[in-house]
Amino acid sequence: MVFLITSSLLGAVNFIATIIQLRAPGMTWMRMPFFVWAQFVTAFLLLLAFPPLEAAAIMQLMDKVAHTSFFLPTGLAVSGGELANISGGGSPLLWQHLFWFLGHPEVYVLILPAMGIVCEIIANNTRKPIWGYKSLVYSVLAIGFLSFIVWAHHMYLTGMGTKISTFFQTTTMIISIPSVIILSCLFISLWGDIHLHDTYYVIAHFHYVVAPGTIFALLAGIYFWYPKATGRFMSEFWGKVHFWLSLIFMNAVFQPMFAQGMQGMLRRMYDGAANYSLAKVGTDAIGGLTDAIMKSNITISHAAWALGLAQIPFIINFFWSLRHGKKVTSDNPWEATTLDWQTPTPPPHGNFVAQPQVHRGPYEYSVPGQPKDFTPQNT
Amino acid sequence: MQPTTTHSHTHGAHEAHHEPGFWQKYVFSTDHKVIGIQYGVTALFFLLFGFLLMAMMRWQITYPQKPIPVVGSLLNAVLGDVAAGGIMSPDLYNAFGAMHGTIMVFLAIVPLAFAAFGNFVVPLQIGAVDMAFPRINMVSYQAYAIGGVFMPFFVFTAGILDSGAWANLLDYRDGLPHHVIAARRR
Repeated sequence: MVFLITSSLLGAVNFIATIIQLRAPGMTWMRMPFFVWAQFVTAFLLLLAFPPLEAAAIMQLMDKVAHTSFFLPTGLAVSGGELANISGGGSPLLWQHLFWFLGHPEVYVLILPAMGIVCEIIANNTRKPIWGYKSLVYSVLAIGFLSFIVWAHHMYLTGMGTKISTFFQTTTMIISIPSVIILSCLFISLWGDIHLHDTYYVIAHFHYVVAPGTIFALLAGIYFWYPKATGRFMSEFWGKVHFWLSLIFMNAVFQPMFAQGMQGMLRRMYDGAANYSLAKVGTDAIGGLTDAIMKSNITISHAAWALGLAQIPFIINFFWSLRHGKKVTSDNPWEATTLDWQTPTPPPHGNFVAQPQVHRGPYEYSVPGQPKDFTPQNT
Repeated sequence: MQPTTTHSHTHGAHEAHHEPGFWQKYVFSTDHKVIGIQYGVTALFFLLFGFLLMAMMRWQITYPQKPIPVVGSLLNAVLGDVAAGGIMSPDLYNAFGAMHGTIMVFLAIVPLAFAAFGNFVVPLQIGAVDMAFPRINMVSYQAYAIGGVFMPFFVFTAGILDSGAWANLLDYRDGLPHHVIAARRR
């Protein structure tokens, strides 16, 4: 874990320095693609959230090897009624606070880059400027800030007190505002362009951004940037097979879990809550789980395994296309506006043939009066 | 250091335009694009690994106390009594749950979303020749790869099996009297 945290911190510093210092001439802040903004905020989240976890991990390690009691309270009663042989004075709640101070920003670390990828792909595939670029930028900054003051909403059942809970409930509701703004911008950007679905496999992916959306967005990103990295396309047909099977099975896995949860099936039960059904006296007994809900365990599992099999076309496609994929005929096969498509394919060490000069914003698609429906940033 | 290259330069002839060898080009690269792809492939591997842990847990939930097909005997051979007879014990279920969460969050999704795409795309999109600190970038990847291989390895081989999903990253089992551990378990 220490290795991973070190890796994250170094990476975060690197991204912040790169984005601040190494932008091409003319690449002002408000001309940066939204993906870069998302990475910028994510880097700050990693930089500020990981050190508390590292400190907490070291304190836990000290509790273990040096007999400190950072997280062990005085008078810890143990099984059999004996007092534990520890110095005491610590608090297990402290661990939870320190963990979730990382833990909640971490979930935004998961989703923000995915949102950035989705934004790039939507703008490119709809051939329209992204709707509300500035609101996207301000929203992602707001999320970055707010994500540090919502952590205790993971801890309502720990007896923090109602006033503290109220504070965290409020901040949690506030953070949904910028999140919804981002999703709204992305959906409005799609408006009227649904018919373009079958032109690219990738465009269909991002509809799912709200649920297992991160992984779908990442796969979309792989299909999208694969031609730039390798000079060849992945197979669109097998991409569609992969997408539709994944979409169906992903839903078949997670939809029934809503129903299971609403009937009160607890998680982390290694027998799949079979003990509940043993306690059940009749089909409608309070506290029992209906047969349908118990049987949905079987459906979910088979869907999950099928979801795994559905990744086989992707894995084969990924490696097969390295050698046999259709070759790109242009450095900018998706006719995109951002600078990543204005390089040789694949880009050599050093990236650009000449230092690019940036003249415009990142999403000038279908601008009236221009010769083509895309205007690269460096023209 | 470069046994696989085809050119015939002798040692000491490493001028600036030297075409890098296999190791320099693909393993110890400081090129942000290569590092991005390294992150991506490694993270996809962990994504699959984390998925397979979940797939085995789903078997136990669906058919409690039945031996896991195909891999059950392998688990028994590698992990010992926690998978006696190829059947997943409660301890193993907890360990798999904790590792599934930890692997997916820290070893799969974040490296793929932030590090892989970030490395490959960000310098290109802002018009930079590389990241600000290319060597630190390389070290970041190596630290991730080393930590990523060792963490699951130690968890499974050292018998550190604890519940608590990804929120409980370390375990006190060795450092405290056993009855204290018993009280801490949920």
